[in-house]
Amino acid sequence: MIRAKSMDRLPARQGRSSVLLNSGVIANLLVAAVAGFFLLQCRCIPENQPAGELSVRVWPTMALLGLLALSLYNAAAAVISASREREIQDDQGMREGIWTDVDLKKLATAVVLVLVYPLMMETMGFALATVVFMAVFLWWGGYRDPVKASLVVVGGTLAMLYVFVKLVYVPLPRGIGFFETFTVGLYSLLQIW
Amino acid sequence: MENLGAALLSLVQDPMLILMMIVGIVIGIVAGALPGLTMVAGMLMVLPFALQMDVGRALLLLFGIYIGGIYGGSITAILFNIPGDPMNVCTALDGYALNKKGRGGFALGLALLSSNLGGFLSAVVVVLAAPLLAAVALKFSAVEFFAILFFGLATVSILGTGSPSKSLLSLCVGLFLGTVGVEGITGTPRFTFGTELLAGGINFVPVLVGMFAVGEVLDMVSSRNHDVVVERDEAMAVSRRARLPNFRECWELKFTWLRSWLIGMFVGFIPAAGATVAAFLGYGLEKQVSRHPEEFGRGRPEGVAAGECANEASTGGAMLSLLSLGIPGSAATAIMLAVFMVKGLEPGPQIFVKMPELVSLVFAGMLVANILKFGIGWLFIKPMVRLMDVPKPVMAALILVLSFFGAFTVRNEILDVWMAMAAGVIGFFMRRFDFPTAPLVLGLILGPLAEDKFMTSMYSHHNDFSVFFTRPVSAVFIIAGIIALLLPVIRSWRQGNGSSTEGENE
Repeated sequence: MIRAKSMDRLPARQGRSSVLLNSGVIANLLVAAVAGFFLLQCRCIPENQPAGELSVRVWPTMALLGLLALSLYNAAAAVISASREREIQDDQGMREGIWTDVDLKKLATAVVLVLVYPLMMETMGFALATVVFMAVFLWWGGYRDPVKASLVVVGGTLAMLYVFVKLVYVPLPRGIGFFETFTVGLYSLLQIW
Repeated sequence: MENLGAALLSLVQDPMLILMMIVGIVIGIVAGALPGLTMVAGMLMVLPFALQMDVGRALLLLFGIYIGGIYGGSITAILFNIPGDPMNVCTALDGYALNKKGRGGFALGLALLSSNLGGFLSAVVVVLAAPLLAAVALKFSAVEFFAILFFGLATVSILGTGSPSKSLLSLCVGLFLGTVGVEGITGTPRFTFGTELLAGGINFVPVLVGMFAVGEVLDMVSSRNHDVVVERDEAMAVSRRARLPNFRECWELKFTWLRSWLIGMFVGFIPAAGATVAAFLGYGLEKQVSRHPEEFGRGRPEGVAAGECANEASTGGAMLSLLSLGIPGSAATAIMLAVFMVKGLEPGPQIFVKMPELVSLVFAGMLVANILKFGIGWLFIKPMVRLMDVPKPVMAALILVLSFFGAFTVRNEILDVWMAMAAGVIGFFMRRFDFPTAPLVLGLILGPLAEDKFMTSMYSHHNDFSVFFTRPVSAVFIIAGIIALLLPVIRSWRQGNGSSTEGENE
């Protein structure tokens, strides 16, 4: 038996704009605010060009003006479609959202794990950080067979260490303090450094 | 042509080059077929290895993944109604319907043959046309290059699959991010906030890795379980019956292949369009010219042939644009551009003069890889059924760790890893809010190039904007770009007018 995503999900994803109303407006206004902030920052760019030539501010200003105009347009469009779709939703008596096919807890955990990984890498070094990260990720993802998970985690990390440190000499982060000593010891043990 | 002969000979004599292509095609087919893992993610996973290789080997490895990945998704689309990549959605529509009618074996063979025809013929065109186009491009000044870039960037609004205004917004973000760092001509720092880290600008590779690989993982692991159960035994039985179309069946599809191949080549050449747009346009055209359009989606062989031929033909168009003009036509060719740049090379017309051997090797590789793909694709039909069992958490964890390498090995900077991870989170939210991520990456890659050509044009023509309209090549592309920008506005205005007229009539 094979479990996999069905194509039947695709239309549901397309139809989710109906639920985006408020968040859609807020997202676009946020983009507009950021564009406005950087437009002000444009004025701080020193003008070193020869006299009579175009300023180095021109290109970023054009990009930011485009960004500002489009985000305001999208926000307005989102407000208009919101009011239209609310009528439809009231008729149908249902509300469906862009987040209905997302497990928000899983998403939050995944985002934290993704952002913590580089942090762990800086302090613990690549080898240890990857073992910890992969082990936590597999366990959290529901892959809990200890033997298979260990094989994936340890085998995967060792294979990557061998390829990147021994074969292609990538200076992977070794960590700080005790962790650096540990990484160097591990590299010596594996005879890859 | 002499160089091509020599390159073909060196390719056949160097087992490593052949091996790179075979490995690439296998990785591509697997990445393309597995739901949740796209061909671009597959390319990004091998990027750290590719960056350490000789540029020729690296490009052939990535090209193998490119062509294999576009085909791979068709197997699962036909067997399970699960397109591995969006570009195989059209194949699923009619391929799965053919399977349900008991013609799954024929659909599998037809998809493989159509894919190979599209890919091989487009590779032949690249070999013939790229040197000519490069020779013409050598005569271009900054004005013409800017016009071509402007046209490429403008088409984002009409060729994307989502809302034009959201595509343009995403593009503007990319264009803005491309201005961060020290400006190329005057050396003026912009938006660096006095930090050394931002002085070098935002490298597009970590952003590419984040948007396409990390963002995809977040999508994969956070989605609620909408899984369906598919009978593997049934799929295995169908895969065992795989057969190629006979001569009569091929003859009936000749015009379908021709139309789809031409569309695929053209769409692939345009920046930002890519294989998905090519597949949808090819499929759409076939439906329009068909005498039985109502049967599309219910198991028409033309549907499978058109989608697969067009999406694979786009690889040739994208390579033509990359090699002869130095403009990546898709995310996949943007990754190849990264390899060129990390190796200190700049694709475009100059490379035909400076490194003809490399160009010939890539040409020879494109021809041979498309032939190899036929055999490997045939062998991989059955194993694909088993590969569908790879657990999602294992795949996700490996993609994340390899994404780290993809970002880190560009400059050996942990900052790039942070950037990739942050871009992944931003990319995930962009997708959720229906903002396409590809235009952002395209803006980031092409933005600095477009700015450089624009400023150079202005410096050498005393800030006279009319220069873009007084030179014929430039005028054509600028006007075409302006039309591309205005088309969505005209379309929505006409729709609005149409609906109001209908309302009045009612």
